[in-house]
Amino acid sequence: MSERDGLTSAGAAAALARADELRASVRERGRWLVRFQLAYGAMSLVAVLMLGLVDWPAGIVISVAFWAVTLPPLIFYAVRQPVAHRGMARSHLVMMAAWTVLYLAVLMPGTQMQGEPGWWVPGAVAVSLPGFVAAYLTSRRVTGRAARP
Amino acid sequence: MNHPRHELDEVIHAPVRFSIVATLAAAEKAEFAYVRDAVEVSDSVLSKQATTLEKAGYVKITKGYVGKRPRTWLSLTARGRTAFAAHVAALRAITEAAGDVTPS
Repeated sequence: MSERDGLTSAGAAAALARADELRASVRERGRWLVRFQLAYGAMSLVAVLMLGLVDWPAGIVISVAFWAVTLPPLIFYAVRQPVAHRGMARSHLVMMAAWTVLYLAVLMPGTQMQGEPGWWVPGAVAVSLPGFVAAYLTSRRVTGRAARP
Repeated sequence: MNHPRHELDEVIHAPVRFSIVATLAAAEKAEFAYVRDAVEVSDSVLSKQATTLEKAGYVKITKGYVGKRPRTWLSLTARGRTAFAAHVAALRAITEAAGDVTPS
């Protein structure tokens, strides 16, 4: 008789409960991604505002320097995390694709609108949205308020 | 031979291996130390059971570095996900057959 032949319904229920417990633990530990995405959204907002509203070339230098100082610690924080919840790679890819499209859509016409708050403030908000929206969706997912994967 | 227990996966059924696979099922990948702590086993036990799962084609073991520190990552293969889903379905069928309330 194999080990599985001796499994009772109580044993099966206990195994399912253990699986639920472990899944909840992974989701809880996966909350780091929410912080990462929030930080990325906030950094995007600040970087685009500095780029557009500070006189050039200083604005360009400050914005690039801001990314150079803030991005490495954020990446280091991400690679040190011990677990990535299921679906993380896809949600990160979607966030970065949306961010790239919006960043280029704001920056390319923006070269003709240096110092114009009417362009750069809404533009900065738009560029920050992928990070903030991704953080909201990830938060729903890791707290179990969204549909299961 | 229709009892759902016959659908249970012999490799996954062992309690430690079940916990390892259940942890990895919720993750894209997980560090060796995280899985060890979640499953509450020693390094050597996890290493042995992970190797068994790897040989079955259920788990992928990846070694790398974070800075200068060596790290080992575990992830479930597509075959492992399919096997775990079938195993969980069999467990649910067993509890339902007995009229139990199944966990969510």
